[in-house]
Amino acid sequence: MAIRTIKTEEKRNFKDSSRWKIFILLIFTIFTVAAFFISNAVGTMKISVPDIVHTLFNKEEGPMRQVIWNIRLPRTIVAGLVGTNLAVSGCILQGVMRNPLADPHIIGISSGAGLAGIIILILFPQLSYLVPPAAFIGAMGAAILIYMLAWKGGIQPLRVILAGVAVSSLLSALISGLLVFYSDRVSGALMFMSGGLSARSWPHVRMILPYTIIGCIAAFIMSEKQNILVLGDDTARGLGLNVETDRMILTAIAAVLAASSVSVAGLLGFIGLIVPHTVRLLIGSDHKYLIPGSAILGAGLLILSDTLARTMFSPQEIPVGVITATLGAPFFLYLLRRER
Amino acid sequence: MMNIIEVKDMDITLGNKKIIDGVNLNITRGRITSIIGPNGSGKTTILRAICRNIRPGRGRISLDGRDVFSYSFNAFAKKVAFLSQIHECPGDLTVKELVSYGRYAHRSWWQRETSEDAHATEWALEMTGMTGFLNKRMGVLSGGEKQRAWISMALAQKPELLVLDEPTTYLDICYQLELLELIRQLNKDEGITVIMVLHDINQAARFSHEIKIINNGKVFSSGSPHDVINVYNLRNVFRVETDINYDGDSPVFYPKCVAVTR
Repeated sequence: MAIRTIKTEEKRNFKDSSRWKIFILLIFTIFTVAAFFISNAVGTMKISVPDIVHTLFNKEEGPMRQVIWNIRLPRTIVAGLVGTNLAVSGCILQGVMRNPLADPHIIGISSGAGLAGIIILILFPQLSYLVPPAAFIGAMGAAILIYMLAWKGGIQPLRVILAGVAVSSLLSALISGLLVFYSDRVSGALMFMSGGLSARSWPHVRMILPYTIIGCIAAFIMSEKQNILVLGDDTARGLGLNVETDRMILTAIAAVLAASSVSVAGLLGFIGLIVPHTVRLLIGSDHKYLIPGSAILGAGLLILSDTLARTMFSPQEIPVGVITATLGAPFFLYLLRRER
Repeated sequence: MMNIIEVKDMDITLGNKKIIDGVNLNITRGRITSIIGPNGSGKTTILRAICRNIRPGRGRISLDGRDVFSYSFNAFAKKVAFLSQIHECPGDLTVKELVSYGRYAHRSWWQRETSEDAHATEWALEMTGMTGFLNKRMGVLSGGEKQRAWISMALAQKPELLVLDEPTTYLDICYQLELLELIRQLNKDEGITVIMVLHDINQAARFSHEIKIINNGKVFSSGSPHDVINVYNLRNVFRVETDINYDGDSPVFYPKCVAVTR
């Protein structure tokens, strides 16, 4: 009995140690690197891993180079960046709003981007190249509107969530209205709504990469602030945190991360919710590890999901959102059950 | 300066309700002051205002003669540590991590732990007898241990003033006394000024130098336990008829029945 207690104690201490956390981060990294190679390897043209490495580091012309450099590599990178952005965004919001169900949807990112995207796709289909910037503006606009509605001498997380639900419902109603009035033009809009990465290439990488780099670095630097915000407003203020300002900055970082990924990949749900939770269950609640963990696992998971989405029923692609949900939900439930 | 905190003509309105109505009170440096009063009287609101968690509609609160709102966040946290009544934290947070947050105001985000930080956290853990719990998760601690861990966090701030909102709530009686004895020791040995809201009037009487009775958002009575805990005050504020005895110098009351007033 006594020995067993000591053993569980040791096990627990090991799980609290930074070595365990770094080990898990390493596993995530291996997973993501593997996903990267799988994504570049499979498809109509099968390419072996040595060939991928060879093509990446040599400038030999040929069909292999065409496929890798023009199609698979940029798409894989976009998938990775989108996954990273959504996961880190969800991770920040769950901490800042002190709500386990918080994800980029609750601050209006999806509905704002959705409405802007749908307006372009349905009312001005000839301007469809403007969808990414319009979606970005729509997402940020909705997030700012929700933040302003929730502001009352300061921000209470609950008010943000309620304002988010209200604004999102309104915007979703407008989207539905548009879809009904222009039912003949719905199909393009549907692809955008369910989110997908087909035909994404280097311009999209360039569009999202700066946000990923800046957002992730900022989120990592502010990890201790996030740890302290989790303790509650009064306690955080007592410890010397400028609660209102820090929460606003963090929410803005989350909004930019999510908006940039939604503008590139459409309304991809679920990654922002499930990845941070999975990482939290494996690594604990310290944001110093949570943020990098979410960034790495988010990238790997979306790369793998996108690979499945384009190869499972080839040549027909299924929306990657469908894959993330069907893969993610059961795994998430398993982790939840295991914990208690 | 004798008073560490001075509150002048403070009004606080939440929604349409005036919670605090023209409160004046001084907190003497180096002493333990307890704030007592019935539910909804505004005790917690006063504490939250002193710690800048609520901005008063009117009036002025000063710390060492300076308006509390003129301090930067860091500067204030180095002088005043606040523990709210309800505090939650992730269960996997270790005591060590929690206590290290107490040093947040003392370092910049690019700085690693300095030897001063290490000394402060070590001292804080020692004071509360939590040194042996350093690597334990908060989730596995008992209520009393948890509360001591939170106090360690506040002490790691190296505050001149410790503000506690009902620190003994939810604790078994033995842990309540343990905690109050710890607070008394911190006050006596380390010279930390303490303001706390207490629910138990007898405990307030035993462990405080000064008591402020708050009723309907006003200071009803203020002074030493001996002066303040009397049949008249307990009847008019807490609506109970009491017998009062003395244990040494500190009054101990025994409630007899609900008072019939007016």
